[in-house]
Amino acid sequence: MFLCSRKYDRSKYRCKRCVLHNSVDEFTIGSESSNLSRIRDHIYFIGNHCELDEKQLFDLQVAVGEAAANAIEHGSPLGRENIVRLKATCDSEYLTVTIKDEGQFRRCVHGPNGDEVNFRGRGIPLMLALMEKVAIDEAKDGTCVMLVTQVARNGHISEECGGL
Amino acid sequence: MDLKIESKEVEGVGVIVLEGEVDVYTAPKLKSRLIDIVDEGKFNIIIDLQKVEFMDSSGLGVLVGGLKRVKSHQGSILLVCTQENILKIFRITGLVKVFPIFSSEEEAIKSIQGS
Repeated sequence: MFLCSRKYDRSKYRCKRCVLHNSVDEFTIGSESSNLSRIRDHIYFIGNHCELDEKQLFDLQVAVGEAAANAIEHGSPLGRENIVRLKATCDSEYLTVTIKDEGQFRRCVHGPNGDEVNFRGRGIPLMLALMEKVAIDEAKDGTCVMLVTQVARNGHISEECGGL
Repeated sequence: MDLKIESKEVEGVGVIVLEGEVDVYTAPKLKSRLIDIVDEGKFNIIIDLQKVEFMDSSGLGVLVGGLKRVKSHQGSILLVCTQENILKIFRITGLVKVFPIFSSEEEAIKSIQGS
């Protein structure tokens, strides 16, 4: 299920300055809700090195946190024996983070009167509101959520993050 | 970062002060405290979010659940928050129309006493 208007593949471009230069950051962690804080800390580290500002860093943490929480709650049929994989790539314009689990995505989007139990269904609207692009790919071996945010600041591409 | 929860009573109003991160892991702790306060007979509750550094949809869900509990006793939940990042989460999810949000505990208490 793609929620963005078009497929997104900029993996052939790499940022020339930040920590992800010519590489992909991969982070694997056990599927436990107690690890959510570590996931957010890690993504803050990555976003900070990609020169996102504080507002963008918070938005990224919320979006990644929602995707990771869904992966832990609904994409881990074996519970804590499952793992959540995060992958981050950065080019001159965008930071792309994918969150992959080992189960089925729970795609429930509820109306304004959602109750306590199903309020987690607000995760997708939050991701959509906070990220440039969101894509959810449901495969047999797990669900992959891709989140894309712009690296450029104040409407301009950071020179330090390298024009191609 | 864990979630610290402090409860107090100010002029007959239950006040919960949160500090830290509210997510899937820590939200049950908040839910439990809210249930305890309602069970004590406090149906007008102020939740101070000024020291909350992160909140996700599970935290919002607990607040909505708490609101339903107090509303069944004609009570209310008022929030204290001036942090733009946290307010943004409430705006995106439409909860600014559900929870009255104040910039200080004093303002929230005055609102309860005036109603």
